[in-house]
Amino acid sequence: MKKSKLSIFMNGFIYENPAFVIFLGMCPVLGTTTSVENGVYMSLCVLFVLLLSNTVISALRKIIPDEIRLPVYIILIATLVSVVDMLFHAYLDYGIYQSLGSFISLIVVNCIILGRAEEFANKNTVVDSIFDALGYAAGFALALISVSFFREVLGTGKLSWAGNSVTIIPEDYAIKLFQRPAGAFIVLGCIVALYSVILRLVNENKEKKAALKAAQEKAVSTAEVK
Amino acid sequence: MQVFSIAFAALLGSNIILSRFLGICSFLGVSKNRKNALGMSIALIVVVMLSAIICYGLGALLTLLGMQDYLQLVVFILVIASFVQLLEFFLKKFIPSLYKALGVYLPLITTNCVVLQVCLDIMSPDYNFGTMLVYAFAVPAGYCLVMMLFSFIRTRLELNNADTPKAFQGNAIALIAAGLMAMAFVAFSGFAF
Amino acid sequence: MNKMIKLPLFLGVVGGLCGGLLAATNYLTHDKIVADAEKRANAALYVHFADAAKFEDATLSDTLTAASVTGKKNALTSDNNVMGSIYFCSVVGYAGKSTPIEFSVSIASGNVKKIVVTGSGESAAGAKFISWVGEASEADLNPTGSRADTWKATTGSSISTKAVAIAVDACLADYQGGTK
Repeated sequence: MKKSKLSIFMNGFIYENPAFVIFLGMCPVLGTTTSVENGVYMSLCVLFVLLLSNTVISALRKIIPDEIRLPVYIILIATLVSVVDMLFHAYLDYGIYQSLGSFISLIVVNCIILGRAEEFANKNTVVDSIFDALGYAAGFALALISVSFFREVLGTGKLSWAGNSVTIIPEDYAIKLFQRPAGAFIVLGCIVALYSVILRLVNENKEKKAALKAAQEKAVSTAEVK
Repeated sequence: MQVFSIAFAALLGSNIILSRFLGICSFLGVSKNRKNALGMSIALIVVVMLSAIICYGLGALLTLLGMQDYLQLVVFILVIASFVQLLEFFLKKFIPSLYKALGVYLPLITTNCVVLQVCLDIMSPDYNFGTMLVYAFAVPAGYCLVMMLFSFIRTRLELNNADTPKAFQGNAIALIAAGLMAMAFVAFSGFAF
Repeated sequence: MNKMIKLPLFLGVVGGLCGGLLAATNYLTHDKIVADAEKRANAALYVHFADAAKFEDATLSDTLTAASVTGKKNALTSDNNVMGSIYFCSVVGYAGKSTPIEFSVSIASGNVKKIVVTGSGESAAGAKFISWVGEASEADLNPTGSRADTWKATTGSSISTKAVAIAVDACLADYQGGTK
């Protein structure tokens, strides 16, 4: 069954959102979300690695012998992560590199990347794999940015980017707990709950539309028979 | 004394799950069942300790060759993956009951952040072989402790599932419970030795 | 081709290509990372001489050691000319021997450029002096009269001021009597 590119993207972005639905790659969602800036840079790193790994593995899928495919995937992904780590360390802001810390290196054990390689990239075309990577990376970014938004605004009262900051809540009312590990768990728990409600509504809407369409088609076909 | 402070920090003060956010995927996935949680934790202790020893040696070799900056990640993850494969093979042949009990969780240890993080941590010059062993034991022991405690809590959450608001059922309420645990564990971070 | 040969060969090729990519990236980024790390480690030194290319340790004379100077570093330009020196001192102020005043003073072109206090347990007048001396302009740091007396007149502290001033005078004397 040929899937449309948009449906491939939406699958990773909404329906199987890695952090909110299938709960893979949770560690960075909690660990790198003390500020929106950190969250954005982390999602860019994951996007880079996921996009390249899906593309390369899909391109080579007919050549890689089946017995050694896991070691090959691991070598490829680890290489990409090391490259991202070195480039980040050398050319981007050190403050952010330090707060992301070893989470960049830990992308290599992020289940999303190996998971998509194993389940999608080695069975589908390069273009499809690119959309799959974009979808899952976008889903991951959605998770990182939403969690970090609440953690930063509620925890410090302001949003900052590259040194400039906008105060949203007066600092006296900011609840420092949200900058701490405990706050991360709580924010994520609440957002997961909220997301499950939204997803349920989206799915119900989808089913209603599909049922309506099926009923219309049935009416048309019975009318034709008549 | 230094040994004790390393062990205390790894076990309680900067607990790998509640403080450093590593191993969360397995933390949420495995803790529903007490038996699975225990099996996973023990397997993790074995894998972490032995991988740490191998990676310590290989890390020293890489540093000698001057290639540790860019090769250490690839080498370490390959070591861990191979070691887990070997362990799977070993358990299947010699302790099949344990192999069956762990089921699908054994290969998942490869992607468990805890293992890789410990191997990367021991590359720091602060650790000699002895303190490295202590650290490599204390970190997964801390994981085990939190896993077991959390599985008790999780079992109760599952039993009272009807009382939980529908949106929060499942992992959401588990995350909030973990947050409360994290708050409690903050008490340990104030100790200085 | 025989499976036993094909698999390790394939792994070897993949490993080799990836190793090559890693080595190339390392070649690109290594120097930059090392330079960055050095800059960060020596942040305290770059506060005094932001344009310095590098810093080198210098030996302390006995007179300097007697004047409570604990370390000296020369700031060098990119062509290895000394542009100035930083002296690290630990003197006993009003608060006593248990909490000495620790500071670094930079000297260039025969004048005291900057004093950065890194530790002290002073209170009242002493604390006033400490906060003043960190922000003082070059003119204030190089008064025409006696350093100790002028600073005492400005800040009201006598013991701490005198201790720091004596050390600074000694450093200045060393700098002017030395290489430049």
